[in-house]
Amino acid sequence: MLALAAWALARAGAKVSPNATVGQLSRPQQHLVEIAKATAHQVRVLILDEPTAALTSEDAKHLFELCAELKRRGVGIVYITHRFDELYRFADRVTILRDGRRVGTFEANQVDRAQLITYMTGREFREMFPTLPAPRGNTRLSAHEVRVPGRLAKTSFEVREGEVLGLAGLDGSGKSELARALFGLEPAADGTIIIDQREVNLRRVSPRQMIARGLMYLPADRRKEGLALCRPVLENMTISALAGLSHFGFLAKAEERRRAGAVAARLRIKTPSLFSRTALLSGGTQQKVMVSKALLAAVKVFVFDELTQGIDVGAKVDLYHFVQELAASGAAVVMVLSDMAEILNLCHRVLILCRGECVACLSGAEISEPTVLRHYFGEKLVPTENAVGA
Amino acid sequence: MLSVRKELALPFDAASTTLEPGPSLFRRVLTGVGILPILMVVLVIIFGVIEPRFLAWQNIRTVGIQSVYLIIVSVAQMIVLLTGGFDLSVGSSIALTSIVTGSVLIAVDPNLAAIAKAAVAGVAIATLIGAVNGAIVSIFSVSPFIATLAMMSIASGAALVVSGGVPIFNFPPQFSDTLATGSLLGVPVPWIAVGVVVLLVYVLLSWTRFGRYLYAVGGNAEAAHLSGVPVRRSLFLAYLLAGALTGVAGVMLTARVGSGEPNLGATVPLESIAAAVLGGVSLGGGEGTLLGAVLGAFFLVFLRNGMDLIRISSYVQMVVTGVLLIIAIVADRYIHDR
Repeated sequence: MLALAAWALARAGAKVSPNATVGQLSRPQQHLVEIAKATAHQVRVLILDEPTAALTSEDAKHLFELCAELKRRGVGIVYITHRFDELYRFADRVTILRDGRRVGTFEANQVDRAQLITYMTGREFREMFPTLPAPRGNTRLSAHEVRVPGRLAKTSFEVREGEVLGLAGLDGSGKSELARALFGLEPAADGTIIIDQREVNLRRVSPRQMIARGLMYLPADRRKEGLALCRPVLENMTISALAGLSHFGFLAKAEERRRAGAVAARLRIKTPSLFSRTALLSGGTQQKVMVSKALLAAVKVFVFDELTQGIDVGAKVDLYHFVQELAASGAAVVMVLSDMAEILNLCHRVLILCRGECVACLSGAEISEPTVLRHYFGEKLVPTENAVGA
Repeated sequence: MLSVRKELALPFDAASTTLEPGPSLFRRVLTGVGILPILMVVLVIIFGVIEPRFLAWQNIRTVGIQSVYLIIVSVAQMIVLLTGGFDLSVGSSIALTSIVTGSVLIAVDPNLAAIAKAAVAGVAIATLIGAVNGAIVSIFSVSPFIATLAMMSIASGAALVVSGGVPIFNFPPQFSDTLATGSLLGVPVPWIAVGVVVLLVYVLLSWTRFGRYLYAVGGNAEAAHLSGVPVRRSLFLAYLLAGALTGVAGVMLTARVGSGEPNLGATVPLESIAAAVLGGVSLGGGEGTLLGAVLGAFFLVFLRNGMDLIRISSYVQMVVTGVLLIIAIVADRYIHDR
C-alpha cells in the first residue's frame, strides 16, 4: 500500500513522503496529495475543479503532463477552470455555464478567447482591463519603515490620490504581510503610516481603528476572513459602516437598505434579494459583497489582497472596472497581486518583494513581464530606497 | 467586436434575468424557528388525544405561567449561542441568585423597598457571574465550554457555602405575592417580566448595532474582526447580558418556590440549550431568532406538562429531554448545512 501511495505521489509530482501528516503540508502539497489520491485508483472519469488554483506554476506543469498521460490512456477528464490558457492546453471540447445554465458546447479549436468571455459574461466583450486615469498630485497614504520581524524588512512607500500600487512577489515574499501590517493584522509589526496627513503608529493598532482612520484591507480568503456566509447579504455589506448608519446605537434601517441597494447596483451584485444568505451566492458575487463593505465604510485607502482570486471572469472584469472607478474618484488603492496580467495592466506602480524585502519599484513602461519575473527571484537592480515616491 | 451566432445569443437574456428563486417557505420556517412546528403538531395531537385536559384553556394558562422562567433563561442562552458560545453556568447562577436574594430578604424589614433590594441583589450577583464569564471568554479567549463549566462549579459551590447547604425559609409573604402570584391590571407579574425581557432583547437584536455585532461575531469572528467589529467587547457584553437575564429568572423562580434554594435550576443549562436549538438557534453561532428560542422553551414546558398529566415519571422525562436535544442538534446540522 505504501508503495502504491509513493508511486501515486511521485506521479502527481508531489515531493511528499507517504507517511507525512496531511495537516502539516503546505496548501499546494495538500492539493497534489488530493490529485495523487484520485489517480491511485483506476479511474475512468476524472473531474478536476480548478485544480491549479493553489499550485505553483511548476506543480501545475506537472499536473498538465499527468492529465495528458491519463488522456492518452483513455481516461475522460472534466476540467473545470476559468483560466483560458489551461483550457486551450488540452481541452477537446468546451462547455460554458453561466448562472446555473449551459450556454453552449464548442469544439475547443473553434472558439477564441473573446468569444468565450462573451459567453461567460453574457455581455459584449469589453476591454478586460480599463485604462487607469493618471494619479492626482497629493499623497494619500505614506508608509514609513513598515516591518514585520522575521517576515518583512523595513519598507517605505507612498500612494497618491487616484493611484493604484501593486505589491507583487512570490508566495512568502512578504507582500501579504506588508498589506496585513497596514491594517493591524500582524501583531509583531511596527512602523508608521500617514493617511491624509494623520499619522498612525502600526504598533497595537486594530482594524477597527484603521477603518476609522480611512483605510480598509480586504483579505484573500473571503470564506475564512471576509464574510459571515450564514448572514444575509445586507448585513455583510454594511457591517463596517454601522457607525454612520445608527443614532445612539439604533440602526437607521431604511437608510441602510438604500445605501446598500445603491452599492449593489453599482457593483452588479447578483442576488435574489439583499436578505438572501450570502452562502447561496456565487464566488464572484460573494467577492463583490465583501468589496462593498469597504465602499460603504467610506474609506479612502483600499488594500485588496488577491482581489480576483478564484472568481469567474465576468466578476473579474467588473472588479477591474471598479478599481478604475475607485482610482478616478481619488482613492488610493494598494493591491497584493499574483496574476501577471493584473500586475501588467492594473497598476500605476508595482513594488516587488522578494524574501521579505522590497527589491524594486517599477512604474509605467518598466512594468513588463521579464522585468517583473527577474525581480521575483531577487535580482536587486534598484536599491530599496528608491521605492519611496514615484 | 464579435458576432454572436443567433442560436447562441438566445440564452443570454433568459439567463441574465432569471435568478434562483428565494428559499422555499419550508426552509425559511426551518431556519427561523427550527423543527418546532412539526414537534408542536405531534405534541398537540398525541397528548390531546390521550388526555383532553391537556388542551383546556386552564391548563394552557398554567403552562404559560410555568414556562416564563425557562423562556427567560433560554433567551439568555440564545444571546450567547448567537455569538458561537454557550453558557453552562445558568443553572448554578440561578441557585446563587436564589440564595443571595433569600439572604437579603430575611435580613431586612418586609416592605416593598426591601423586596426590591433583594431582587436587585439577586440580579446583581448573576450579572457579576455573567461579567466574569464574559471576561474569561473574551479577554483570554478561553473556550466558553470550559469557562462556563468552571463557573458552574464555582457558583454552585458558593450557593452551598453561603446557605450552609440548607434552604432559606421564612420569606415575607409579600415577596411571592408580588413576584409570583401578583398581577398588574389583570396581567400576571411573570408575564409582565417575560414581556419586558422579550421586548428588550428584540429591540437589542433587531434594531441596534450591538445586535448586528452579535450575529456578525457568531457568523464569522475573524471576518467580524477584520470588518471593524469590536469582537471582544461584543462577546463580553453578550455574557454579561445573559447573566443579568438569568438573574431575573432566578429572582422570579425564587419567588415562585417561596424559599432560597441552593439546588434551584440544576436542569436549566441542558433545557435552555435544548429549547434554543429546538427553536432553530444554530449551535455554530450566527443564526437564530428570538421567536424560536421563546417557542422552544414554551414547547419543552408544555411537553413536560403533558407528560405529568399522563403520569410519565420524571426519570423518563429526563430521557425524553435528552432525546429531544439530540434530535434538535441533528436537525440543526441539516438546517444549517454543517
